[in-house]
Amino acid sequence: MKLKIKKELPYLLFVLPAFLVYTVLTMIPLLQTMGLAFTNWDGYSLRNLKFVGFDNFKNLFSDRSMKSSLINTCFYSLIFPVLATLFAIPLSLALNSKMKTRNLQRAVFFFPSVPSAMILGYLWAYILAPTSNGLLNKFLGIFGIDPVLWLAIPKWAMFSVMMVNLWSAVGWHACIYLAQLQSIPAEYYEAATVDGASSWQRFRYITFPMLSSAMTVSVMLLLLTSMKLFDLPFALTSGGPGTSTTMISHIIIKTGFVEKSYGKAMAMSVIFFIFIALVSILQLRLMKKREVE
Amino acid sequence: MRKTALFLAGFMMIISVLTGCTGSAGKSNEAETQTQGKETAASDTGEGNVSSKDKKTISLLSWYTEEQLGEFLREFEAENQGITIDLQYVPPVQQYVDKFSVLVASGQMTDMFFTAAETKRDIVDKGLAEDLSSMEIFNRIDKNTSATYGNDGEIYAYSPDAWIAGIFYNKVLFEEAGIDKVPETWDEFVECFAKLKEYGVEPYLDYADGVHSLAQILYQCMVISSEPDADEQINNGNSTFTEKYTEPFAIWYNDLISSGLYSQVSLGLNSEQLLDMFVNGEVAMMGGGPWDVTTIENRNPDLDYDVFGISDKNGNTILSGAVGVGLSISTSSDNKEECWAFIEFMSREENILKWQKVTNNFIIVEGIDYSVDTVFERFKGDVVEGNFYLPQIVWKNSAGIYKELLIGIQDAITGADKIENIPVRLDEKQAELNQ
Amino acid sequence: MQGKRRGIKSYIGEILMLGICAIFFIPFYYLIVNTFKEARAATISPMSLPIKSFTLDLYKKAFDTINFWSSFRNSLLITVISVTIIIVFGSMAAYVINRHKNKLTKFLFIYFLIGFMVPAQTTLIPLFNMMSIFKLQNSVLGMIVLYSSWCNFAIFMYQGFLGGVPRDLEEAARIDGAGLWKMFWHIVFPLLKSVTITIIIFDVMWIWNDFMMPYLFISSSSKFTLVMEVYKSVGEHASNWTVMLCTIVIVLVPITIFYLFMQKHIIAGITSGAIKG
Repeated sequence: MKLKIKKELPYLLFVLPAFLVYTVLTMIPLLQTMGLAFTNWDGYSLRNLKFVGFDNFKNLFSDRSMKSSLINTCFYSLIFPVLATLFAIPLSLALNSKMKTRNLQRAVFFFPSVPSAMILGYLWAYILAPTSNGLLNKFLGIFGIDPVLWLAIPKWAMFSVMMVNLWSAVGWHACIYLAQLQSIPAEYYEAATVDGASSWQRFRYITFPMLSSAMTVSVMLLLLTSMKLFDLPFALTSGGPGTSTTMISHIIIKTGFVEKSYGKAMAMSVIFFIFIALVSILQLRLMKKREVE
Repeated sequence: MRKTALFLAGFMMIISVLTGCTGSAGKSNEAETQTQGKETAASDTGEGNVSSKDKKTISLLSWYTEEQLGEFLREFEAENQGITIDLQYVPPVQQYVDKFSVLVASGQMTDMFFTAAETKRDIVDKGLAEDLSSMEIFNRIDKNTSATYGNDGEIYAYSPDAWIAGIFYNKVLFEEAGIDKVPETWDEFVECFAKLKEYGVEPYLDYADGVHSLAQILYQCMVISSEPDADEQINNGNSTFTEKYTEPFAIWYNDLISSGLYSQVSLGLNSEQLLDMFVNGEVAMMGGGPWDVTTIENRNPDLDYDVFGISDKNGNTILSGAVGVGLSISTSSDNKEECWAFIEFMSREENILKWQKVTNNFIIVEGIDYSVDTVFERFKGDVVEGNFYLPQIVWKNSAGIYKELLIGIQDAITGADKIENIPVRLDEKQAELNQ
Repeated sequence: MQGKRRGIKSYIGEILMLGICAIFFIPFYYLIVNTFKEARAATISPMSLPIKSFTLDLYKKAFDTINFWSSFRNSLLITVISVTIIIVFGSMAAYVINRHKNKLTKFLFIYFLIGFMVPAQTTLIPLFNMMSIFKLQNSVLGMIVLYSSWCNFAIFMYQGFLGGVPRDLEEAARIDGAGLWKMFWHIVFPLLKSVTITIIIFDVMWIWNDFMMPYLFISSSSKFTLVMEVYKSVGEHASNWTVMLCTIVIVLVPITIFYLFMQKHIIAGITSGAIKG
């Protein structure tokens, strides 16, 4: 037994540093959150802390803003990954060309993912200004289109968030596909051309299936970031107007920091975390299966 | 195997919460022995002592920037060698409140901080600030005004000033639209909208997080003018939001929203863009306060503008205003004496006058001669009479109710909800937060 | 896709792509161009080049408002050291998880994955609590330690990549009697160059741009990071938006330079790292 530990020691020591920091600063706070969700913590002192069982969980979904943020998050997490993928794959094909300026193109498309969402949000707030002076409206004005109240009308606000997110993420995800595209052997395409396959057929039967593992990674990341989305709507619309772009992450912050119902906020966090974990596992399973096929 | 896993998880959770205990419980009110993670260049003798020659650093969570406060801090430090003030600026309003809440929740409060309407409740309920009522300066401030940041005779924040907000208007545009005098009733105010719209200019805009202001001011004019304790009644359960707020909101909605006079564009603007538009003459009126004056004059020194207050149908005016944010000393501070000294420094008459020039606010300390060199001069009398009000200061569960009000009004404007339902939502929120 | 002749069709394609690129780039053009204009000119003609109204005043003002060198230094220190630590801790842990398969390492793999599913906002206060127990808040060192805990991404990438690395060299080294430390650093780590570069790129971008953590944990202006400087000028009573745009440009310059240098490695790195994960 002692010998075994001695033998294992170097391996354990190798993992130890990462394990320590990660546990202390990621896992323990998570566990604390889960624990506090079952108490009546008021966000100030831990004296008089009482265990209240599932009380905090009871009325979670009857709250009006919670309900609408749930809908918003689900809506966003369903639509955005699909949208992003629909644009990223063709973009990756386009970037995989032999064009002379392709490196420049790749750089330009990738760059929007570099600045932080906070900065992008503030920048786009000016582009999407609802007056006829707003940049986008000025542009539309050239075609005789009336100014759109981008961030002022609920459905346009949600559209704007998706649009900015798409603009910033599509290049990044296209690169994931691009990387995989470059590993598809040229012979496959040559053989197909010889057999008389059209471009579309080449795409459908060679390219698309070969991209499946890239797709798994890309979609998983898209799902995760969509569900956890916080920065962009916060910077662009502050979750408004009303609650039209408020996501679950915003509600958790509001319940905790604004309304001071910390126990309830923790309970929401627990549910949220479980929801994310379940969806991720489900998605991974489904797509891994598809990959194998 | 399952069972052990569950047991282990539960066990770990409990341990984690308890570990949290040792972390925060130490930051209790009796903090003499605990050194917090602040930058206290602590002397070995431990206890704060002004006469001690060791270097002390006191931290100040600030609503105001280095630019605004810097001069005062340096002067204080020059007078008090051995004390350094570490200014920690957080932009108002919501960000400041958020940061404040995080610090409170994790027991990491700075030595001094500013108390705002939004944080007042928390401070009173949780005993976060020292009682300053024994300070001499409070003998020269009206008791009712001091009570803004006080409770039961105790006063938790020092503020020498008050602000009053009004409606800025572009005099040239008003003239061109045929408006010959400043509106003195609500109906005249609505008429201004109509005339300006006819003339072809945008009459009035808010920024997205300020769209509630007109509805709220109308409520003040209509209800508070006859029942100054209306919001107290709501707090005590003797009345409800539905009872008091429905009528003003309905009038606001009918006159401005249904009629199409108030533009939904407001929901897509931030305060920057709004100011820009006003300064460039793209909108004739906007709500604002003394803090906007410097910016307006910098951006367009030629703008011919003035300010007025809104009234209700009968001409009753209760202006939006409140005592300015006040300096407080944290009950968990190790350096209370130094903090006290700083507040007494700020309460010297020459510093109050200097500070007034920074904020453009009104001084509420009696016996000081000063002039407000801005358009807000016209409200000086109202300050003296105490003719200003802000529901946020009075509401229990202020932050939560305020947020719900803002979201509600936004929903009413977009049509996502009916205006009659908004006070009901406020009542529901109140019930929820009272649990 | 493959084997194209350079006919008219492909020239049109290229021009089309360049057109789309131009449109894509417009927001940044807008950002940069307006920082050189006087305030009113920016509102009136936002898209024009600043020929008549060119001014460097806004940049001067921006530099006056922010402590550029101090926060740049803070951001640099924090980013460089954190990323180094992440590479070291992450690669070591991933090596064990991938090469030394047993129940423990299987558990660890999942353990490190859980971190991805935790949205940062939900654990803010307990995190703040933890940081203060260890006296990590309001310090550059504290931020470094905090970012080190983000090593789970590196672990994920490394162990994915290691799956495709043959063990021959390690076997040979083991036979020669090399210890774990030597074997890892002298033999294995050099093989991980491309995925290391990918991880460096991603982590540098995330950490440099991160706003939430410094906002929460850093309060003294001397310790601000560069991204926080932008934030300082935002708020309900903000005063000058074109100065803020300048701040944004100033903050973006270092990360852009970094990006331009690392550009070609980004795609190469993603190939090796992400897919195999």
